[in-house]
Amino acid sequence: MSAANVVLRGIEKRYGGVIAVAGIDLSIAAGEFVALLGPSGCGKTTTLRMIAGLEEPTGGDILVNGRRINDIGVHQRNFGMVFQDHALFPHMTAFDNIAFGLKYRKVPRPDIQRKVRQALDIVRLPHVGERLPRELSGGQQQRVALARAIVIDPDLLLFDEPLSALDANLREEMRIELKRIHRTVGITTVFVTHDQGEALSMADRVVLMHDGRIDQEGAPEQLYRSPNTEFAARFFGHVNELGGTATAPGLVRIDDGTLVPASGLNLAPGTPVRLLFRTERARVVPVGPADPSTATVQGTVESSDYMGMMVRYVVDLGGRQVIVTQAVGDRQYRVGEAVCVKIPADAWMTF
Amino acid sequence: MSRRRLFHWSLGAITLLVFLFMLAPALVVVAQAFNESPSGNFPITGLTLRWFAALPEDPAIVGAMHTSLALAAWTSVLATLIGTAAAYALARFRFRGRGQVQLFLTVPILVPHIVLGVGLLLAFRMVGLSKSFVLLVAGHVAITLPFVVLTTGHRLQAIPRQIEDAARTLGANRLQAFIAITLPLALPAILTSLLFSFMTSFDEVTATLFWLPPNTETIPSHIMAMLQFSTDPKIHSLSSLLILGSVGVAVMTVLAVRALSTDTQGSRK
Repeated sequence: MSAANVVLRGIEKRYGGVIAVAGIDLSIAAGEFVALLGPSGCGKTTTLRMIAGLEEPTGGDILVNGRRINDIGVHQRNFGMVFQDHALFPHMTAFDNIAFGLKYRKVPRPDIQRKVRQALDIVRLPHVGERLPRELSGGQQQRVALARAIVIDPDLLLFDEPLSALDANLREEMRIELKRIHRTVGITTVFVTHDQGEALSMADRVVLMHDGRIDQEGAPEQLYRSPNTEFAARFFGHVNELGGTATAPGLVRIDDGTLVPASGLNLAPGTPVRLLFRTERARVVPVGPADPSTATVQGTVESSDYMGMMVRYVVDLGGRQVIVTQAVGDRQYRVGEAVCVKIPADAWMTF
Repeated sequence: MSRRRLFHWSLGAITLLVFLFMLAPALVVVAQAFNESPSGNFPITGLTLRWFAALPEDPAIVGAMHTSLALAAWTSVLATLIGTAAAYALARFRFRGRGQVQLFLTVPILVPHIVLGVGLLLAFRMVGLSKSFVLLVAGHVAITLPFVVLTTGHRLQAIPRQIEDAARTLGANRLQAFIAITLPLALPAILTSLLFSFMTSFDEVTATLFWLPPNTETIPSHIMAMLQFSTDPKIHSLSSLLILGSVGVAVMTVLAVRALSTDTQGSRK
């Protein structure tokens, strides 16, 4: 079992005057599962392709176990890669697809047999060896592609949006499956995705990219709970916004006149401030007395969407619409009903 | 229901007529090839294989056949090699002047052969070269190249670049990836190009007339010469063989392509 550490040092990529990746510094520990997350065009795929050797960086170094690999060809890097559209060789059986990398490594025939069987077992497809890619389902194709990438015992596994071509249920299943396989084989993994759910649920560490740079990196909870930038805050689901003015340390008067506690906020009185919070941090409650530790803002239910486990309310707070997602609980509020929205003092994000 | 049947019947009849219209001249030629009468009168008075037997006895025909086959062989191999390489570059790489190169390689399709014929001859004269077999091959390659570039280019573009990328990450260098992955997938198009350029070269006469070296004939130019000066019944037997050959090559192409074809996506149904 090989696990390599990878260091990107000021990696950049320009196409003529266009900057795709504007200097990335990143260290990936041996065995770590890192997700490169970001909207399309943020440079995540280009970064991955530079690690693979499929694109040449216009600046910076890539180090694997301390050794600079910029000038090593794709075919000599020993990195397994899984592509968005599985990229199986359509004219070869699943077995031959998986054996492809072993043949270039001059592995003896009996060992090839054994290793391919083993890889097919790992991805839980022991019986599809003789089938052509087009005779496999979408999920099976992606599993074979994964088997093909891990069978070469790579130093690094690279995933380029491998689940985005699959339908929702299958995607969910493959997430769990990929995570399991990562635990089994323990290979250092870099996973590119634009899906925050995928990144948060699978990765040890999420690297959020924006305009060719790293916006923020950290553990999934860290990115979700304490984003450093508004971009990071807004990238993980809907964010509500209220305007207000700081009145005292930890206290803000929002635009409708309500005084709300905001812990950790230390602004000079009179400073205008934008308060952001996530939809699931607030709660819709019946109109009642305010309590000093939690913001309690009066409003009217504008719409309510029943989503099974959860209800999503749009509440009008004196001209500002906010979205609140909460468990159905004992009662559902009707459209037009007067309610209060409670937001805990530590839910606010300000930038 | 009866209107529907009427429609089907008339559709069938019209199709038959179209086929007849296209094939009748060929059928007349084939029938005449077996006509015993040397003057080619109709109706046919007796059957014979004499005119076929006479073909290999005629040194002019044997010579022309030799030239045509050699020319078509050289042309198809060179055009397919050059055209496939060019199509690969156009499909896989972004480079300065890519658009112009593509245009330059495909536009000869639109140029009348007579213009190509005169043009290339003048160009050869300007650099002091005379009519030769090389000129013939060069000209035929120019004529057939666009078909190769378009046919294989279309196929190569349908092969996802990621497949080659995958092969390279697995340990194949660019050439090995091309040979193991791209070439087998593009083979039907390459084979089609090869046979199509062979047939085109064998058939070409307009431009060829400008490029023929002295005392050299190709089969088409020789048939034209024969028609001008005589009504040699060997014209019919020779043409029949050509028809047989072209139909054979066409059928072979279709069968081979069908046998070799793999869906380039390997996609789900």
